Amino acid sequence: MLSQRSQLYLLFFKKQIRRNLIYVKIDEYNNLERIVVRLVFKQVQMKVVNMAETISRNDVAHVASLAKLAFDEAKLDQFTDQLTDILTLFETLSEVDTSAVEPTYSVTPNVNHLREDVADNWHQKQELLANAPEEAADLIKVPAIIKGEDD
Amino acid sequence: MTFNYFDHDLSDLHQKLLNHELTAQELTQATLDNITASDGDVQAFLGTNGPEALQQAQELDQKGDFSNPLAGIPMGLKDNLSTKGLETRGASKILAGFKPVYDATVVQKLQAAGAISVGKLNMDEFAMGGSTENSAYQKTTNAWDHTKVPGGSSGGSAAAVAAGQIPYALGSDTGGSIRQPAAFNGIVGLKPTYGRVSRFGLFAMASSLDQIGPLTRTVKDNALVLNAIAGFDKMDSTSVKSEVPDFTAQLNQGIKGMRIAVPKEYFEEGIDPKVAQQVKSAIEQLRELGATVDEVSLPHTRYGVAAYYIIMSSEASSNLQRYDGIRYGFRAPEAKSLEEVYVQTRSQGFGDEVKRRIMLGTFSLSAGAYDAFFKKAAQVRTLIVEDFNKVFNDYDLIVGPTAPTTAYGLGEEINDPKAMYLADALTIPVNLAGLPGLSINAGFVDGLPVGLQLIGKPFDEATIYQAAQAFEDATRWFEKRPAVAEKY
Repeated sequence: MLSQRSQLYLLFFKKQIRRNLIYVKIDEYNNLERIVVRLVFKQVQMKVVNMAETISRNDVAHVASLAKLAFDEAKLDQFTDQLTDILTLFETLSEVDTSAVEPTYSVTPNVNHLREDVADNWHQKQELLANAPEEAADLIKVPAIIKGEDD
Repeated sequence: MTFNYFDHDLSDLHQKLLNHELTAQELTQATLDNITASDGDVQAFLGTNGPEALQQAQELDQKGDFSNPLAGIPMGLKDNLSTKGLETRGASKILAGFKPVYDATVVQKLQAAGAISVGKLNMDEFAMGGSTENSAYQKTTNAWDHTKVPGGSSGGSAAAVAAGQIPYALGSDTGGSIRQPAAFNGIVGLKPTYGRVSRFGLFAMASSLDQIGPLTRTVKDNALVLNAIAGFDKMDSTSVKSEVPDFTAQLNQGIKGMRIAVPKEYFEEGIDPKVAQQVKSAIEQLRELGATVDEVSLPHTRYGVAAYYIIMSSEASSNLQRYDGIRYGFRAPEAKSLEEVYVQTRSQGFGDEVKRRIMLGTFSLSAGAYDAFFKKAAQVRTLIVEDFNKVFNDYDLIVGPTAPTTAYGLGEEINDPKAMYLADALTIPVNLAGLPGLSINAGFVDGLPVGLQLIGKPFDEATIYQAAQAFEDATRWFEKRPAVAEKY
């Protein structure tokens, strides 16, 4: 069952749909309903219309766990609002037709810097251990990873 | 005893050291005294390393070799540049007590030149911010008005130089963090072409956007420092094998016939009318010096801002995963399991702005969102690059304001969303395209400096310096001194 907003959009395009001037594809994309409207009679123009009202608190909690961050209830609400705001970033970007555009991930002409596979040793063990929060037996000490029987 | 850096530039200091009118020790001690005299007000330095600096100065005096233009001259480093054995924290609590085990390449190069680092300069935590107010340790003030922000994230670097504590400093720029504080403090700040200066040893924020650059009071000083820090580095896989010219060679050639473009998108609604007026006068000055000036368009500018936030926060969220309480820095004391070490350390050690950007970036990269956000932003980035390429087919430089306002008050924020947007839009696209960009003082509005930004073609810092020098010679804004200058 489509949300009210989606139904309104469909109403708007009803005439064009009937006249076979556009086709409408509705799908799920990352919990967001997305209506992809393609204007067939003009040059092909993809317009992704973001149907979600908000990002859910569960989504935000999930992101926080990925980022290894913990928030109290109030902060979680605050972040839910803030992350919803980024949907406007998404909407801004959706205005641009990038269907024929290659992504740029780096602005240098470099591809890969290779070197000979020769092992090197910087002899920095003591300096590195000196930075460790806890060390023992020349190793970095951390709390137990596996729960023991006496936990 | 203090030293008045407002009376000398680097070339002058170099001569005095060569002629034995000054020793490195005297200059270093005087610099440390400068900091004591004025840092109560400015708060630019997070910490100084007096004993190490004086030791280094003494060794230099003993060797007696001051042939390098930077030898024996003190300077400061932003707190995200690794210095071996000296606490470097990125202005964050999560790195409290951290001492890097190696020097950043730029630090090594400056040391080899004989430069003397006197301390670490304040910044927004992990370079995230535009006012240095996000530092976990202290607030830095603007050199011209101690109730105003110094800008950010290289606020400490800019304020220290503008306040005459040191003759130059290094900062870093991901979305404007050298140019904007340079503008707010009325000095020269350069973000080099991406790949021009090695990032090895710089705490990474957004790896495809970050660059290290010099902040100085004059154009020639800036070129001298770039000479020392630029160059291919095998330790940085994004470093480019590009020939490093002497950046001071073309300085005095003037700008007759230079073709300058002014994007109309940089003067949109949101810019303070007095700032706009000051920058327009500056551009008129360039015309009077013989350049041709035309209006152009960079049509994808506003999409660039949206793309930047996604790209920057995505890359930063990935880069900051390493701060996990395991190998270095702060570890949450009550953590009982590995998961708790990660979550509690990061939740307690990071400030709010850092967490905000990590959340935004993690979301943008998460399964399902990656194509819609990160990849889309990268595609828009291509369009930004193409916008610039088109203009640079017909022009040598692009100029405009560096910031839409002068420095605002500490604790205030920019309230006008249009001004906030422009504050990003003026500097960010330059990072997205990897171009070199410089800010130079273009005058004052109500006592606060206004910056003129010059953007150049990739690896063409020389043309930027040439134009900046011509402008500096004609306007000589650097001769004006802030009130704090009286302390020396």
